Amino acid sequence: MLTIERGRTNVVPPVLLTVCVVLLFMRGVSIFYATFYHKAPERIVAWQQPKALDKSRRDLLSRPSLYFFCDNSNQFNSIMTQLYDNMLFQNREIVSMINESVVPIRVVLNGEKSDALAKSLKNSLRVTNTPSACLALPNGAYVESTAWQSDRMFVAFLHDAMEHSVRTAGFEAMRNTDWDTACKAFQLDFENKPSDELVDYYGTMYWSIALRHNHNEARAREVLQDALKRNTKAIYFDKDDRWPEPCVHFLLGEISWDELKKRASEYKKKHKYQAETAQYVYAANLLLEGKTEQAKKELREVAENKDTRYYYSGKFARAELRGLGETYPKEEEDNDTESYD
Amino acid sequence: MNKAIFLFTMKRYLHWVNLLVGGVALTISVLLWGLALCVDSAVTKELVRSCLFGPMVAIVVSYTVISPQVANSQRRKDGEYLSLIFSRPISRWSYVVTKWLTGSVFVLAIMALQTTLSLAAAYILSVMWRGHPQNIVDGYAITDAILNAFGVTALVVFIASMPQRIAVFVFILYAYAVLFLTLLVGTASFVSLSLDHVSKTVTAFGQMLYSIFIVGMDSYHVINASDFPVASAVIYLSNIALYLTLATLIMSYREFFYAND
Amino acid sequence: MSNDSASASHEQQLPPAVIVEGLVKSYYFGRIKALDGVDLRVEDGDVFALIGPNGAGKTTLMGCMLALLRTNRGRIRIFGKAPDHIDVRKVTGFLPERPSFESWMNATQFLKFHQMLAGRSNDATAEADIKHALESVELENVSKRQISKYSRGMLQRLGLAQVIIGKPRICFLDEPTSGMDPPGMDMVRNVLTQFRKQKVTVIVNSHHLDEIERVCTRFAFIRKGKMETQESISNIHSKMMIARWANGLTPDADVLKTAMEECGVTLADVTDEHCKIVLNGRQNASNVIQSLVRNNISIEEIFFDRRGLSDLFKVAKTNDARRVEDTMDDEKR
Repeated sequence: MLTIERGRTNVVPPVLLTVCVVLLFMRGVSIFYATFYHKAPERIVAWQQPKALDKSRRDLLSRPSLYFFCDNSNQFNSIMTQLYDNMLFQNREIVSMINESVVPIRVVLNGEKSDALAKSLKNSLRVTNTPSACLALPNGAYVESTAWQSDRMFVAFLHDAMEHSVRTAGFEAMRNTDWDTACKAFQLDFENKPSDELVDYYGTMYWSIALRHNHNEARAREVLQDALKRNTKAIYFDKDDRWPEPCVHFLLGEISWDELKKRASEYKKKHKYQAETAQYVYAANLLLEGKTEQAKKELREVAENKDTRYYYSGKFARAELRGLGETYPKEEEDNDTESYD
Repeated sequence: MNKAIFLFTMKRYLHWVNLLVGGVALTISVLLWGLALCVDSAVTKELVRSCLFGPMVAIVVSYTVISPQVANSQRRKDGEYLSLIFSRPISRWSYVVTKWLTGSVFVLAIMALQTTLSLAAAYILSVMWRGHPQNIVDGYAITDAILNAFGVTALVVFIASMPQRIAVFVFILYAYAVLFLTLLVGTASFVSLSLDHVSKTVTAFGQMLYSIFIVGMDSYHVINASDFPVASAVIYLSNIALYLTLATLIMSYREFFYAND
Repeated sequence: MSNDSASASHEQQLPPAVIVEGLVKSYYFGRIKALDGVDLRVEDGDVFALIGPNGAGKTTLMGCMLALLRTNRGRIRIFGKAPDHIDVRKVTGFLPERPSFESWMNATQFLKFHQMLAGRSNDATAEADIKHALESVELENVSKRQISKYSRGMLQRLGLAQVIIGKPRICFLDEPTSGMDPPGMDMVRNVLTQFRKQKVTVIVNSHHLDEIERVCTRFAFIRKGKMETQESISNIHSKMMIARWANGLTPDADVLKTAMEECGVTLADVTDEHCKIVLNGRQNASNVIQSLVRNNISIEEIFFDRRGLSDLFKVAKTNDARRVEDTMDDEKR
């Protein structure tokens, strides 16, 4: 029998060798056990059946929906679906986050043979690859989506998406000219942030407009002033990043329309869009000051600008015009695949 | 664990040239991460976290700490003169384990340094620029850093124990194996849930094969799983034992002498 | 006599420093045999020289004895243990032929490193030992200089200091004098003499045969991976004297015989020019000269016929040449 003299330096220690062999054996056993005998726990996310999107819903601040799109038409996709099921949706933190804060909806696609409902959901929520998860507001407005991620990344996605859903609800409410919900949403979004965090000028601007529509002039001025005060310490690496600060100054009456127009043209990067935002702010201000006819004229220019039709300012302009009795079909916008602030 | 080798490796790596090069690289990365940590997004935070505590950092750091000394014998000037060192009362096993521990300590130290500096940079930038920096340190991050450091360094010690030319090939092979086997075997194993006995056995063997390449453990995934994944823990531990055993075996088999140069 | 018996019993208690039996070491899957059945025995306290032409396998043999090279067959025991045994390593010192030390260190750091490696750093005299080692190799003035700035000879000295710092019981020195200036050679000789005094077993590879002859007690001659001779240095020193007659005055044979008998030596060979006298061990040159003078034999000069290690080399070379000629002849035939 082979014996190794104790104390030799050029040999693998028998203890190490034994530990290694034992661990490798245990590895084999655990893998075979997991493959043949282990039963995966029951799916603990309470998935719901998909329903057609109800675009008329106005309770935008109630629980958003988490759509999980999976495709069983080919082997690779079904493997990936199982990966999601076994890893992500078995994670206790993810499960509790899903069950507590969203309405989980599982949409099973089947390639080209998918049913009409699944197909329409896929199109409305801009799903390009499966499996993927997508967060949407109760009225079906898209918030954010993700493809394969690790557990922690998925938690981060959910966290971010939930935060964004509030802001998106604010914008959606603006499109519905539901000033009350818009105010609530922007307020919530504002309160989600720590008190010394920079604030987003767009949200604040639209919040103040919504507040003025709700006849809360004082609060409207306050939020704008507060935003300017908070953002004084902001360092902008790019001059264009300062936009839309001039709009806030305009809404506060600190600069004239001509001045705003001039300032909007100073920012080269997104010139069209800045000019349009400025014009919308000008028009909304006119409307709130009671100069309806002049406001309508300006709003129509914004609404009918083909270059910037997908931007929120355009959408808001059309919403305001609809509120004033003009016809701009909303469904057309809903099929748009892009939306910008 | 050999004290002399430990101190030697530490001292060598803390040579001013290494500190200068490392310092520049660290400053650049710290500024980038600091900036990223000022962004108010959980996903960005996760990205930074995976950069700071991920296996890649551990691989790069431990390879620079360990490899130039183990992989070459007496040819490189800044390496170790192994034929002389191995004439001293040091077993090849203790050499391997010392390199492993030194590498792991270094990896952890660098991760800690990167994290602290990135947070400091993020704090300074955020005071100037916006509200709060994101905190990336929690129990999971620390556990992952430790697990990754020890796992990856064991792999690096194993690869570096081979003669240098082979080591390069093994490193490339490792990268490719991880890339392809992750897709092929790693995911295919989930199919086995719905397949017959034969293909289940094949996938189980595939997984055995693939699991050789797993160096880290995702503590968040393990702790939060509905069922504690025993296999993950066993795979992690057995891989460390395997890498160290193989490294010792190779080091014991190799000849460190100029007579055969 | 009593001394001899004491040393004999001492030898029985302690295993020999080195035993090598039937050692085979080959490269390239057995295509090149570097060592082919080498046997060697080195007693404790010997200063043992390994000599032989380049490529004979001396360095390979050293590598095997240090367990830095794996052997294909055969057995090596150092103090009765495997050569890679931790106890053996604790008492081993090694000076490599091509020292390329960790160049970013200075001499003191390097010695400290090796002191730690050798497990001597906790000795009470650790600091003093480093100083002593540096002084022994005359490097104390450059001890703070980075090793990368050392010359070849300085590296060799540092290597020797590294051997000393481990306080070895057995040391393997591969070409300790290569790249050394004459004072350096003296230094090496001093170190070897010190080792000899301290009863440290030394195995040395060297081409400087006269140096070896001066300090070594025994030697082995290796050629083409095979051990040819293994004996004491004193054995190869000739006991033969040559007396050359003055001006061709060849003495009478009887007178010469009487003279030789008087001083108790043997006459080996007589020619018209000289005679060869073999000393029997108790006699010395002065006895012989006195006796020759007493018998009125005029001699021009008398000298020892010194055949040393260098002659072994010459013989080996001649034999090789002859062998080459033989093979060429064979081929011609």
